[in-house]
Amino acid sequence: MSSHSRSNLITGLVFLAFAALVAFIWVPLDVETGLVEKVRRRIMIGDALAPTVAAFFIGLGGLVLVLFERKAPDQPSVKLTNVAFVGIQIAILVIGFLIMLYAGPLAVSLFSGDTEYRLLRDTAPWKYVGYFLGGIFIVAGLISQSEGRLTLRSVVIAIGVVVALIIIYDVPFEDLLLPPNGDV
Amino acid sequence: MGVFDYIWMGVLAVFQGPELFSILGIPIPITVGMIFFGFLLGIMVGATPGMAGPVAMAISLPILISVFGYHPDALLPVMGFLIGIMKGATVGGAVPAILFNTPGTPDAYMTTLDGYPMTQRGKAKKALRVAHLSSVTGDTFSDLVLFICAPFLAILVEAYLDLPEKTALLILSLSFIAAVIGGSPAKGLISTGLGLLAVYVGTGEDFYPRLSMGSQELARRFPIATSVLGVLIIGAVFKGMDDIWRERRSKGTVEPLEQVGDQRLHWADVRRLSPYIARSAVIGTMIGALPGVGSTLAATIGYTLGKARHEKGPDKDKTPFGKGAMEGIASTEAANSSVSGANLIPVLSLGIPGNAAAVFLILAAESIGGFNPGPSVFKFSTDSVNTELVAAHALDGGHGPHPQTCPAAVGPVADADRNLCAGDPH
Repeated sequence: MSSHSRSNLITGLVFLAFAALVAFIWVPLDVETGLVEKVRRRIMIGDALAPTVAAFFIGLGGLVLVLFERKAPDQPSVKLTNVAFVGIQIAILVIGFLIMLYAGPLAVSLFSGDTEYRLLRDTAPWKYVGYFLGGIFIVAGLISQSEGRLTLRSVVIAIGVVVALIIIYDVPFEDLLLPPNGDV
Repeated sequence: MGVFDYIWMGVLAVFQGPELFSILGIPIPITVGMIFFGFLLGIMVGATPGMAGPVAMAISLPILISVFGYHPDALLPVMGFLIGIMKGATVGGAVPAILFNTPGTPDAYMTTLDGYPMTQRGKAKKALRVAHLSSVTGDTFSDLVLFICAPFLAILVEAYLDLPEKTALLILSLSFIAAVIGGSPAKGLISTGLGLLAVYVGTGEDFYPRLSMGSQELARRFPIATSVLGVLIIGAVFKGMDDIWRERRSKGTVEPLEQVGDQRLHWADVRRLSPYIARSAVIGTMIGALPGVGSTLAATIGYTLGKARHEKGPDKDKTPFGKGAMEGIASTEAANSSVSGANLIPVLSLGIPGNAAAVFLILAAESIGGFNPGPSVFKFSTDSVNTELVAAHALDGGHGPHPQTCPAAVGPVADADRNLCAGDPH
């Protein structure tokens, strides 16, 4: 925490710009009716009114942040360690999702000959391969990141978590597909 | 048939229903058993971050209907199970809020503000006891109000709350978010605006779903429960991981939190907490009786008023709200739990859900049939029996058997006791 941090100023400016973007570009281009509509001489609320009010809230918040809370104490500041933390976390998640996506098809092509993974995506054990391996990587990876070391215990916990999730979400339901099988 | 005849018939419908199993020759009616199991499931689900009550209700409803079928006899067990989940989740939601700074349900967010600081000070068990005591007391009060006043409140709400009043109420709740959440009103405003913007995507009166950028995914809207829980839980999880990570980097190790000192809830504590619990229970019940506003607003208002009262109080060396004050937990938990009883008033009498959980109750009633939530439910016909009113009172009475019936609410084994007692009749 630093009292010289400018994070409130920067946040305020970013949200002012975002509010302007919403109110003057996104809403006019992406909503069919205006703020108010006149249908048979009756004035009705148009679809653009509500999002414009939302943009007004965001803009007002940004303005208050810039004008009155710019020098507020205890503003968080971004340090290199924060960036490193987020970077490692994103890397773990991305690698985990890639494993989830490709481990199943890889296993099928290695052990099941010429059958396509798409056809086996609701067949055990193939449907569990990606979810199981990717899930373990993500859970164990995030625990290890927090602890700063890779332990057998974190891997065991991860296996337990993933198996429990499979039991809750896959076993009782016939027409529910585990990730990533809905998207292959 | 008078009012009390209806109430009595409702109670009999619960306790004289088909037998689930018998313990020592005493038959356990299926409705009571289902409430008990629903309540246990609700506590587990509420205590698991990422699994809110509505999620469990959504998963249970199709399974329940496939088990019990589509006939009127299924109404009480199925609704009992769902109401059990709804109430159990509110009690359970306080557990991760206090222990891990992660609200298990959105309405437990305010509980984290004082619950987690108490955990950090080594008073986790005491915080949990305060939460359970307040939750149980608020819920009992709300149930009593529902039981006695539902018909009258239903008529009042219908008569006086029109669109302008409901709009005023919504603006009030938006202002509360901006003023109360976090220390910065500006950031509160921005959060409010972002939330509003998110719910407007894909909606609107026009044929074209607004703000959807031509994409089918956006046109289908953001699922509200998922988004709210995602923002709250994923944010809290990442913040928690960041804290642990930073602590380890600065100290080299992560210190486990030790539980220290007296963890028991004394009579003096209960006396100190009771004005906060009472105020929040009344607030929660009133808000619960209004259609369309849910337990999160009740928790926020209960907490804010409790805070104002606490700051004005005579005691100078007390713990302030937000730093681990027992009163903060009590104010929040009593308010959000007391919503759940009164929330059934608009559900049963107007057919308007007060929160996501109530949507599933209406869905259950409509899928099973034999009970149509709406104004006709509370017509006290004297010459013929209004079966819907009997069912309504059966639901009122049926969802009563709760931990509050157990006297040992403040004892050291209170948690286990109360769970065991949850299935006992009044």
